[in-house]
Amino acid sequence: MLDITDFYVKVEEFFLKEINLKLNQGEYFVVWGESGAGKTVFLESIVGRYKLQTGAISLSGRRISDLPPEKRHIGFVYQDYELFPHLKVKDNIMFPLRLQKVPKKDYQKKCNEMMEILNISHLKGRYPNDLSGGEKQRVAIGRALIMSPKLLLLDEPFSSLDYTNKQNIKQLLKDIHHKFKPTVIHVTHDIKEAFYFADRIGIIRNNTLDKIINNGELKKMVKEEDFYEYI
Amino acid sequence: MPNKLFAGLLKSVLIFAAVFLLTPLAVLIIKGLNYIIPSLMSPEVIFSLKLSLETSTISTAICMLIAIPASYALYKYTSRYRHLIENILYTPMSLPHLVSGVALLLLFGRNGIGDFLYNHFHIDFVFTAYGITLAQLFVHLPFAIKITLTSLEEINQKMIFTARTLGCNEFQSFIHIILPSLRRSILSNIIMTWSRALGEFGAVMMLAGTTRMKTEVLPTSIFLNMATGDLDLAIGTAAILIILSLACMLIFNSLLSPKRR
Repeated sequence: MLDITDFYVKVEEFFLKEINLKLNQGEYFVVWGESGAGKTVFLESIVGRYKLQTGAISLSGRRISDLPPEKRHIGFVYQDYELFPHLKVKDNIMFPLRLQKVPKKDYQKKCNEMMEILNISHLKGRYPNDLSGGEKQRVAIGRALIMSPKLLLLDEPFSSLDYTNKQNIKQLLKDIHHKFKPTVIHVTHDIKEAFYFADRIGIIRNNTLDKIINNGELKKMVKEEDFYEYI
Repeated sequence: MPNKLFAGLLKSVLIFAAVFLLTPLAVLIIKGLNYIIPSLMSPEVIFSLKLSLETSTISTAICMLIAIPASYALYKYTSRYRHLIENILYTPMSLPHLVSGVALLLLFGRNGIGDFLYNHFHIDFVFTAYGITLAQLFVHLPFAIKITLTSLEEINQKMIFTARTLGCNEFQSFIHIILPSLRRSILSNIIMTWSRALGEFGAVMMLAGTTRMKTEVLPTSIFLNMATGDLDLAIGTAAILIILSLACMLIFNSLLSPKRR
């Protein structure tokens, strides 16, 4: 489904190199790494913020690495949400559909459905500055999902949330993945998040995706303390 | 220095600055209030008020139409030579306005490209209302570019990129995200540019001259009436100009108020 080969990207002095990754349709892949390891740069490169120096990215058999971000059809949620402050919640969520010139009736219906799934219908008339962190996160997820992306990229989605909100959004994200089945790459520095969500985990270290293991293997590594020795 | 003394010193300087800045204006307004109504009866002042409003509105509109795309291009496409290009564009800001007027006169006069423009497009900038607009534009465009550029630099890059991931091409992200994010800055920029254009004198005088009832804007009117000893009319016109500027400043401050979304 997602096929990354010989990925090499350079952003000013920082680089990520020799990354090869294949993801299956509907797979939940967590990228774990310490702060500054390059997790966000990895996601931003997939979605098109940075041009690859070498290598290629293909999505469903179509090479996307040369396309501009707007033509990649990848949902992307930054850790600080990046909602548009001048648009109300419903307008933020409808934004991608309005650009696609979907008929008004259809996009309003789809938006209402999405807001119900995310339990934010009561917030539709509010501006982002009037929302809590958890509410903003729901809106950002809804806005990314409404495009029906094949690939959803989540950049530390819980890092700005308090404990209660974090638990609620974690469950919501699980439900959403179950319902829509997008392929997900979720970046985190919290190993418990990786356990909770991941089918497989990739560890970013030494400027590359150093290790790719499945959830069970990671749990075993952590239990036997091999993981801490490794990092 | 003890804290109380330091605080007292700061407050004293602030009071001095406020008194120094406001007293002359207060005197002018108090004296001018009596002359505002008689001034507004004068066909000359009405002409200059009308011409001032027309030229400053047109020059502000053109200024914005140039400043917004120019500053965005500067922000987006000139990472390597940006400071050099910025410094070149801002040169008129450091010139006395009279000098800007002389430069415009040399370029747009009959010895410059004035003949060509007049023969082909019937536009003459020297000693005409077109010249007033051009002079206001020339002097205030660099300020408008600088203000817009500063606001562009404050926009969250990740938010603009998020719009791209949601399907916006560069033009759409400019229209749907960047312009609305600049809304307050553009409004305040319009008001500042308009109020500056309203009071522009040096460059206007050099290019458009000071012909009564022809190229007479409010500052020209003040100058002409002072020169001919008609102090009542000059003070009344000055008071009108101050009231217009104060109104602009109030609108400007209300637009920048944090209470506004």
